[in-house]
Amino acid sequence: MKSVAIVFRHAPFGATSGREGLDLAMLSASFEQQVSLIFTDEAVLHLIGGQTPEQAGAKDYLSALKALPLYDIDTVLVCSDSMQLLGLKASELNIEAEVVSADVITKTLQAVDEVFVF
Amino acid sequence: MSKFIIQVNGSVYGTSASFRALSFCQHALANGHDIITVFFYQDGVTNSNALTCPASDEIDMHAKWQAFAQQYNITLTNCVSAALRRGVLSQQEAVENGKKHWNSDETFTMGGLGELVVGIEKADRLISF
Amino acid sequence: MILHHIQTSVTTDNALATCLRFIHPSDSIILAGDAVNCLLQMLWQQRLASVNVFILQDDVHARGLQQHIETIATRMSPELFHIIDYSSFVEQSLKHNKVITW
Repeated sequence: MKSVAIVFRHAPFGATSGREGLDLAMLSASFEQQVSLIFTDEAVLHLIGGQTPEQAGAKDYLSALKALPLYDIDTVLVCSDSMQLLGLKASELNIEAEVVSADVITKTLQAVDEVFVF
Repeated sequence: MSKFIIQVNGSVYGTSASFRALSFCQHALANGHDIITVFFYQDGVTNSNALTCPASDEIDMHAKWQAFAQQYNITLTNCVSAALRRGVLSQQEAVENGKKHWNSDETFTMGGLGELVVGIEKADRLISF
Repeated sequence: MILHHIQTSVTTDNALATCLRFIHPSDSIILAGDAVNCLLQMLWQQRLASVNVFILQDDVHARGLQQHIETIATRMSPELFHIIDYSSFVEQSLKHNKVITW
């Protein structure tokens, strides 16, 4: 078993990287890897409620975020600097996630075996 | 000697990531290392499109990967779901999906993301392009 | 000890900026592709001054930036500024504990 961190740094819908990163996260978890997710920059926008991806021509992959605990993905870190920059509050997050400072993310990147960025 | 797994996300044409990935692979072998597999994900799956026809004075990344795989007996694996979404199909996928045409040749194996995950378990180093 | 791999221009992508937010003092950065262009800007020379930086030689040569980068190198700390070929890139990827491609 390896520990894997998957970093999301791109906004939802403008690119398909978020969707394809989430596919890898859930697949890795189903292969018994220990998976952590990190949302930074405009990717934090994946986590706010009330989105209708179909209106942007995207598959509703955000609903899969709700299923993360079923995959035993319990560590979801959100960059507080990015939240602040975009004027978002922790209460707006639609899933269980920890808003953390950059140094917590730095430590996570150091600690895991592999990191993928989407 | 170390074992690499290489992930290619860059497309066959449009960015230089695929070119750098291939250069990295060639130098890894030259330095005496092994490559477990080259895994194509996201737009990287377009590298398996055998219908790419660049002009003769342009680089043909599909042909370069094909030649590399054949020369060194390296496995090239496409993420099948990423490929299907982008119109990159092997003969088998074409038949299964009721399409008349296909474009991915047999140098590239269609596989799942699981092969990337299993590859990482075996590799000393993962590097993405 | 991570090797952070940056491939895109700072003018079209914030990969390098994001990487610098999360970098650890023991980490290094490799600039490849259009990412090498950032060194032409004073701002990015300053931001990278205290980081161990590798620059992929082929991409510098391909862009005709050899002399520019050599001039910039004289202003950077020689222990922290390395122009390397693909073969050294391969070895650096193994010397570090992992590679993160941003």
